[in-house]
Amino acid sequence: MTEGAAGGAAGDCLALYDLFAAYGALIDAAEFDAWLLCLPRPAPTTSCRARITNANCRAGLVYCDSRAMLEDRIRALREANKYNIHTDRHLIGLPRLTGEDGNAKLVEAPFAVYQTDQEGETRLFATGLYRDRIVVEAGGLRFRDKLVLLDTFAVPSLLATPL
Amino acid sequence: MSGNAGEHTCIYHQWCYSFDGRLRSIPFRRGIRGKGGFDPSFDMAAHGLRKLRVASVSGALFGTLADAVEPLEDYLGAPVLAQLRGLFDRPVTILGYNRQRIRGNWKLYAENTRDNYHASLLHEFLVTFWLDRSTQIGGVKMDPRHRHNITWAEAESDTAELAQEGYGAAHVRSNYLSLQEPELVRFRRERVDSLNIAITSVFSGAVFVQISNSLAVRQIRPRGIDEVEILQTTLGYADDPPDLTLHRLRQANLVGPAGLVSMEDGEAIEIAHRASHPDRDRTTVIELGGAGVISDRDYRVTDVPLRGFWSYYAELLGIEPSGAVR
Repeated sequence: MTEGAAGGAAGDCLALYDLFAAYGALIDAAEFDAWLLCLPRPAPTTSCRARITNANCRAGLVYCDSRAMLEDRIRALREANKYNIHTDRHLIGLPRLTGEDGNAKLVEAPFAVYQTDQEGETRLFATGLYRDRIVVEAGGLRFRDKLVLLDTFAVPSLLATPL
Repeated sequence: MSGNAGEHTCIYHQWCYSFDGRLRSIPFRRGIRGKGGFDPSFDMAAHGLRKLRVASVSGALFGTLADAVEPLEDYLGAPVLAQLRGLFDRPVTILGYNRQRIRGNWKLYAENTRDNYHASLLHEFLVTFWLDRSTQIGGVKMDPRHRHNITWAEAESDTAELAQEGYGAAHVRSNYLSLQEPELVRFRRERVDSLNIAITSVFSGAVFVQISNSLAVRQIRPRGIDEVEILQTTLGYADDPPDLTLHRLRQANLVGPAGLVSMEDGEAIEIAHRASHPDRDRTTVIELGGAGVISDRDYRVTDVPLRGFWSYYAELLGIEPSGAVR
């Protein structure tokens, strides 16, 4: 799957599943440009936030409150940061509709991310909960606000690739 | 998890301790119906918890289990005291916590925060996005015993030409990129000084970090020989206006286990630990800047504070070679 945004309306469960499936699969495939398409397009009127944080913390391990900051993160990952070469594997549980806010749907989904190193050894890297606002944009679903709430608040080694 | 308890009770046998560590009560001390229980000579006062000696610098608490210690202000020394009093010159607010588990010995992390040589080489983000370069005016400042260190650098104290000349000549990357969100690295001057890097390492396990406008306290918590946990508390000031809080939240991206500047430390320490661990009967010491006197430096390509750290560590463990430089 290489399409970033899923088709259909926000209330459409299959479209919702497709959005989460694309989100995880694109990170695992290191297709970060396509992954960014899961988020709103850059425009003066659209904002998006993506945070990775622990419960009750304002500061995140990652705190991006614009598409530009997310793109900077990906650029840094490619151009500047050095980290353990690994493969990510997202296992994302079924999303649950928890409410509505205007034309956005509030959705939660549990996740686990495993990392496999160059020796072929796999370890559980993190579990947690996505707490998201999802909107329809250009005929597809996108994350407007993505909160990655970690259960695993002791990060093993380092966190480089997106969760 | 958070909250407050009025006492400490061990779940195992429900021995109960007061906040000052005294043993307050134990169940069945006299047994049941005159049978069992503790010997009448059992002295509650002799079975309290080990007490920490605690002292504060502007609200930052330091503790030790040692019985005989010099006063905290003497231990820290004038430069570190001044730095901490500046950092905590008004009430702080906690923006968040994070923890990082690194599979390496804790002393590699203590070295890391004192090692100026690696900063702009390992952490390529600093140079790539023009935040911190070894060509800036900066250096290292230590206490008289050289066990602590302040790594400092002044913002905008070099030029693009100077940096490109320095890094280009060393065949290190000098093709700078720009960020789409320049606020991520924009330094807002907050104090009379213009330091955009101030990393204060206090022996043995505390680090006070200012990188641009991100502020944090790190505790180095050894988890045995082969693992260390870094507990980081991200700070702001209680009187920060909302836009400055947002700025700090954005710049918190620079530090911590996912830090654009600092994530590499986790990997570097694990590599160094894996590489050195098998050779326990061998040593390799290369002193950057040469041997000799351990002293403050007003340049950045140096690792002389590491020698201070090891000198004091060796003294504490009683393994200091005779004639060693302190």
